[in-house]
Amino acid sequence: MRLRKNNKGQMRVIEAFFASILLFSILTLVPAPRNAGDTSNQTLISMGQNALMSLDSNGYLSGLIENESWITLGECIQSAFPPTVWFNLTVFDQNNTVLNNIQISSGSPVNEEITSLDYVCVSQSPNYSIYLIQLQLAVVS
Amino acid sequence: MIITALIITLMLISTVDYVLETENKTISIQTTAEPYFSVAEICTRNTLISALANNDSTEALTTSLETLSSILHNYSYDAEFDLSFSARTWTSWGEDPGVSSAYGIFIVNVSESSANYSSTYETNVTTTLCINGTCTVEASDETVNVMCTVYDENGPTLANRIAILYQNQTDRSWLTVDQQNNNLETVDFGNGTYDISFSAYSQGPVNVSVQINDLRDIFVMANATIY
Repeated sequence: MRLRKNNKGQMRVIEAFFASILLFSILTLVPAPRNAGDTSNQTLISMGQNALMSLDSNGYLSGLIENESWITLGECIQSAFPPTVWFNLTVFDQNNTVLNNIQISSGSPVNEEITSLDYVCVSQSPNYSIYLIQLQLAVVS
Repeated sequence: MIITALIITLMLISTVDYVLETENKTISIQTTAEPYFSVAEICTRNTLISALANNDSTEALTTSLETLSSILHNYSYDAEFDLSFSARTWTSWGEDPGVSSAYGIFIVNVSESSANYSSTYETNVTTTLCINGTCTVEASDETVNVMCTVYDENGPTLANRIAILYQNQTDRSWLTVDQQNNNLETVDFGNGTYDISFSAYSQGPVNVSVQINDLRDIFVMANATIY
């Protein structure tokens, strides 16, 4: 049997090789997916801020604090999050004294990574008061 | 073939670059400055309402806003938060309509290591009371009918408390109208309008003063002569 001597296809193979290298190299520029933990923390902070701002927009939040309605406040915060989110809320006055005499929390402390956000709340009542709220959040797995 | 691959590669690179740039812009706006501006707006608005509810002067309002500004300055560890303002209160409790108002212009600056953000906004808190009415003579008494309408800066609003007084024609003193002595009747239309009628020991036009607190506890008063 006589082999055909044909070298024309070699250049095509080399071109295809370099083209595939170019295309695959672009994959290194595609950013890696974000850290799931960072996204989750940012989402929790946004949810917490939105919950506190919606309660505060009509003065309801400061009213609950002034009336020391800690249980109602906890229920309001609880309703803003899915059941898988743990929270712990602490209310301070301007002198950093803790005002809530009971724990405002959705349960016992968790071992998961805890995200914390601070919020400033101003009362609408004639007795002008500024409260500092610290909301700790975590996703319970 | 290699030229085609090069073109496709360049297109992919430009697409990835565009997506990354857009994503970065979106993240920086939504997650950094927006909450600061929203918190500042809510806090300053509540401060104006509190000042009006307490019948504060412009000086007292300024003191409250300075306290708020110093607390907001330490609000975040991640950014420097500055609130500057010009605000005042104003009341007109004489002739109809009565007005209690507070107004402020606020500038919020948020400085982060990566960027600076600034926002300017105005806040107006106003409660207005409009009154008018008629008198009807019945025997020795007059029945006075007063229509009151309460407004806030967004439109009609409800009153939390209403008190009405009329002026005694003999000694010019103001008498509080009550259920027992004056057959006071109040009809609440539920839309910020109240129809108040009462008997006054008077002849001719009656000077009436209506005093209300709205749902935010802001006091406003208006006087009118009812014919």
